[in-house]
Amino acid sequence: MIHNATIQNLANLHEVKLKNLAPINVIIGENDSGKTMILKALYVLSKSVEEFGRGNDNRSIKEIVADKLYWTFQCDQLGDLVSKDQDNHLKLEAEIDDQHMMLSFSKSAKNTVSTVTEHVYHREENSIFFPAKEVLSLFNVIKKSRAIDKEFGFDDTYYDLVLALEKSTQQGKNFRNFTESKKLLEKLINGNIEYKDGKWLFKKGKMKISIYSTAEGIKKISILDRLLTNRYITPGSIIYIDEPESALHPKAIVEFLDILSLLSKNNIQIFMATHSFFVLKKLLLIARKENMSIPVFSIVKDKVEYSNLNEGMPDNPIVDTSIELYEEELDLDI
Amino acid sequence: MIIQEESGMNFVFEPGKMYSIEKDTFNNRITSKCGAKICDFIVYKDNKLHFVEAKSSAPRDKEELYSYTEEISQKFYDSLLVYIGVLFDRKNTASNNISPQMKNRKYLAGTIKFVLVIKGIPKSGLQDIKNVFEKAMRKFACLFSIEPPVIIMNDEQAKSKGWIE
Repeated sequence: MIHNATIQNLANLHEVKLKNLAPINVIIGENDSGKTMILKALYVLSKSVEEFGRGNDNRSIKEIVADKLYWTFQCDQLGDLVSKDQDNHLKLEAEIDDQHMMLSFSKSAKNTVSTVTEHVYHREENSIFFPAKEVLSLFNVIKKSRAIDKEFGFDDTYYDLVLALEKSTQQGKNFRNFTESKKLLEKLINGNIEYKDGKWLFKKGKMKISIYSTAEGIKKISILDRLLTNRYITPGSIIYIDEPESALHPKAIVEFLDILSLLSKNNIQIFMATHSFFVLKKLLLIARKENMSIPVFSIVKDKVEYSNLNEGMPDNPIVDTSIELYEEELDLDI
Repeated sequence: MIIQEESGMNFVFEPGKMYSIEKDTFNNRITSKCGAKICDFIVYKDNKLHFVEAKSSAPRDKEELYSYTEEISQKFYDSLLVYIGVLFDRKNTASNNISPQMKNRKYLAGTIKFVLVIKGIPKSGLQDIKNVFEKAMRKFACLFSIEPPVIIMNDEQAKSKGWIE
């Protein structure tokens, strides 16, 4: 679990402090405010610690971090990520479980970082990033582009997800803690996905449907189901979700968030970036019902405002827009 | 201008343009005899006929919100029917307390609005309440060509629209 994190001088984000993080955390802000950048920065930090020392990988943490930054942010050189109007270094740090992870580099950095925490140990659990777009129908394209052609286009959030999905399902019982979540997921989409002979199929009863003919929302939810089934996601995993609302009907969003809430109770930490009033509203209800802390980090003009949904709906641009629409309607009605 | 206090808010009206239907002498009779529920007042403003209910709060609990919606929407429906009875001097609702302007039958042919003003409720909470009301009132509003089925505002908005002082 990530307990606290700080991001300094990453693109337009001068200083973002994420304190007292909880099982579910929300980032909101207008388009191009830097929400996805924050998710990606946290992903790089947690994923690097997980890749370090895995199997026979003998790369140093410095090499892993540089590689992960390069392929996640896809910039010509790492220094391009540093805020243009700042002379200071870009710095990312986080308290992950009981270890401190920090990296920094300057504008002149090409393909290496200047400082990384020295004493890092391997983290066994997996982080995973769900981009706003589904990946199943582009599965082979993403693999080829990233693994064979080594081209920019699909960043490591896509590529890592593709590799995670490819992991075969295992015999034996699923984690008992996830049984309820899996049941709800399969009820929500009325089926599941299967990988056979290099192709994805959506199985609905006895019917097998090509993934290309399957609805976008179904594919998105199926991905979570698959990762619970093949045990890529385990207790201790961290899930980053960019725009959970994309391609989902409000009713499906609400049910999907109930499932995420269940997972969060089973030691899975969730970070999500959203534009959706439905997402915020549903999380507010979860926070109240479960009496749980759900921190909200709202990016407004390069500054981050902190609030918590267990204290009510915070002032934020999503709610403000909803009020503006209401008042516009009131002006017409009265 | 005339000022009338309802639910802790001072509503402001032009003389003769407001009918205090809830305080009319027939009210006790029709509430006990017919089981009618009556809104606070009817006001003619900006060429529209408004049936107005003022409340000092709104419930947060789901079941309580449904009862609240049912009670207030029933007040709007009954008040419209009672007002028709007043205009046509029906026996149970004949009134000597209505101004000649408010007895203008042409008002019924024009735009009709049901307005709920809730004191102290945050703006961010209004849409949820309106959704519940609109769903409940859609049929009646459709029958009488009332669009939208209900207008809901808080005291701050009512003040900015010149409804309360």
